[in-house]
Amino acid sequence: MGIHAASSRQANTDQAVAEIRDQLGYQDAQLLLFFCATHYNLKALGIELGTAFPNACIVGCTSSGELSNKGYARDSITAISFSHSNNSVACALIQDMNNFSLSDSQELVENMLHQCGHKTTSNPTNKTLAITLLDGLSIHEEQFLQVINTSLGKIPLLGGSAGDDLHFDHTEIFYERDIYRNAAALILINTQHPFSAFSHHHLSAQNEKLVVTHADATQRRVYELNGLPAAEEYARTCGLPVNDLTEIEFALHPLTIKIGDNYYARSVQQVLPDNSLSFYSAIEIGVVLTVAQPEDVVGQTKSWLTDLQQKTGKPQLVLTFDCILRYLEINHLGVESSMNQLLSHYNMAGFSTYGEQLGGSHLNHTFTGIYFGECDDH
Amino acid sequence: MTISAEQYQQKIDRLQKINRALITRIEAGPVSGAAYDNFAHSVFLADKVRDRTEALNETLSQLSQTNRQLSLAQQQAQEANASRSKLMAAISHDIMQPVCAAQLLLSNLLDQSHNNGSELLAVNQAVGDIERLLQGLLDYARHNVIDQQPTLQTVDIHQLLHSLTTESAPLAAQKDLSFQCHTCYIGVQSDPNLLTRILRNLISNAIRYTDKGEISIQAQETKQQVVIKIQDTGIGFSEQQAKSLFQPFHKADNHTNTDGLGLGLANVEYLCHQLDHELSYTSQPGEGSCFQIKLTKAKLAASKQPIASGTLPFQHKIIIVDNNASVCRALQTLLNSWGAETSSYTKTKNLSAQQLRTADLILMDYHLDDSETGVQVLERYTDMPPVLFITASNEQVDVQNIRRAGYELINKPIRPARLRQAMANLITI
Repeated sequence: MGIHAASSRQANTDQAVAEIRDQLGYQDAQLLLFFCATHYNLKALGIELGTAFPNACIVGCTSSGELSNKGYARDSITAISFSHSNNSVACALIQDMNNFSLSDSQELVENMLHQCGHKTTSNPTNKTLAITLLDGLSIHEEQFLQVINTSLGKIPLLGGSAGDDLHFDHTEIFYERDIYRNAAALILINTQHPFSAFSHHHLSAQNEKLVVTHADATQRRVYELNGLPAAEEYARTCGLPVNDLTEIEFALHPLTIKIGDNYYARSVQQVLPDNSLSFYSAIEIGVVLTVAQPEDVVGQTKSWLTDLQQKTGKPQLVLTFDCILRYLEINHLGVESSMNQLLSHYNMAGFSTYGEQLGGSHLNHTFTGIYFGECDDH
Repeated sequence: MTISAEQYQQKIDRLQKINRALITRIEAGPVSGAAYDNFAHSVFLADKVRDRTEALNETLSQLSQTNRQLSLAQQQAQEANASRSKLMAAISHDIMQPVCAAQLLLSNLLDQSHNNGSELLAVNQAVGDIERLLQGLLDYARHNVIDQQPTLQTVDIHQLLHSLTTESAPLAAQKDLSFQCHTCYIGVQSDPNLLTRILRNLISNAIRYTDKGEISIQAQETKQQVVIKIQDTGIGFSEQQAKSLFQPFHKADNHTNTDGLGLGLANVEYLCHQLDHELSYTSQPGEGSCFQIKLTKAKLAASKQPIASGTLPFQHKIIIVDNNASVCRALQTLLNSWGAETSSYTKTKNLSAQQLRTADLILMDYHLDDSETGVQVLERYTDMPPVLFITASNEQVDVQNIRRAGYELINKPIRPARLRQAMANLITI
């Protein structure tokens, strides 16, 4: 009944699946989402889970860390089951995100809405939501999201980009019986649970601006900022030598872009040998980056969750797409145990992402997800 | 601190680069289709359009609420209409009953008096006027509450015009008007009841608005049509008057007579439209009017022959079934004066099949007591003599029920000439 999560740190696939099955008990699972560290064989794990939950659609991806009610982990599996009794689910795989047209999208979404018992897009209720799992190194998230979000109309879309434990080598999506790259999984859930979609960041913009003066948009690669080699100019704003620029510094010295009244993070992914910077999301010549700094991550996360509980009631489960940079900061600041308490208290489950999706937007450095409340009949 | 020329130059170079990049960005426009623009666009949409979507949703929900209220109101209006039309039918039935009885009794008295007693004639005319007024008002009211669907069938034009002449000629004679009718033996595609009403209206108008001269009715056959003309030498009307002529409650203002409500032509036009008959007119003020109706020709059944004249006596046994005692009495008096042997029943439970079988003809009312219909009563018996239905109901369903059961019918108020003709069609004289 309902939505439940399980986790395992067993390195052996069989043992890990057995542990997950034991934790979930007998579940009338219609959908099983799972996120796992890269040392697991994603395909073998997915197929094994399919055997353990024969009636469920199995969708999963590689991650850069897993969240469960036991806290943050970096070598584990988190699985979430959506029962048949409270949820109606439709799943699809988009094999090539780059060649997915609006008409493909319309047809797919219409079929899926019909399948999950949601009549038409022009008459949506707040009972249906969409979840995406994207290949985090595909570089095609923006186009894909814009297309799919247009078709979904008012249905909220939340999701995360698969990670690979910061190897930036290959990220993978598991769908039903196989693994895919450059692909996207789309899940529509028509649920009896009350829910609230959320997406927040804890960054505050500073005065300094960096203008992208030379970049390759197709590779999300910036060669120059303010007319200087990108890594040098970025390092200067951090007050660090270029050689000290590591992932944790990207987390502690975030860059943002301002659109309207709001700031959105554009996170640095890597410093490349030619002193260029690669980013987690779309970048372009002439984009103005605003230097920002993180605020109290634990305090802000706690207050967001408090607000969500006030709005949606006691948590059944909080499906969380949590940026990897947030975890790096939490780990660096030594506040992991405080965060783990929140994870446990709100029954959170999810993974550390290379990007988060909210509607048609591909975001960085955010705490994004769906807060499911308890069903009325509990 | 001093800054060298070289440093200035570097600074200028960087600013130029920044300048170029910003210009490139701005000139690319907000919807270049590139990934970054997709992002910016999505974010912008999410922020701005969310507000508008909410406003739109609110408007939509208000609209759908308004729609619900409208459809509820419509439903209530339809229900009200339905109940009003039922009320109208009931009133129509009730009012027509006594008028019908009075007319029959009067026509009987007139037959007996032979001396053309002027007071009796005046009363007869007054009752006739009451009947016309009521019929006009009820027709008009009914058209406004129910959309009657006409039942198209072949109508015998000769028979129809003959019967109208029989009832109208005396009225024309009272005004010393010559009344001529030239018919042809041909059928037309129409609804007999509605066509009768149209023609009766036009004929009575012609008589009403003509003080001297003649009324002429003509049926002419063309290749595919039959044209009926009703011509008079009356007061006529001008082009300008013609416009308001078809408005309800309009009467020719160059005429002082007070009989009628001016509903006639509005009804005629409505009925012609319903039946798809082309109605036209020509008129000259002071010279007279001519109304013309074009009907589609139809083949007559071979058996329809010119009918026997209205003078032969009926030496038959006739049973009358009508829940209204005064109608029974009036009919009995009339039929007895024609030489028939009559008995009447107001209650159907007293009827035995044996009794009914002794009759040569049964005159059966449609709406009987306890919501029973004449058709239902007859379903209880077999081997019945011919039956003629008489009904004050103009309801389409009733007429259809009677016809579907295979019976002939005439409408109340009963005019003796029509009754005689209808009876003559059913029994051998």
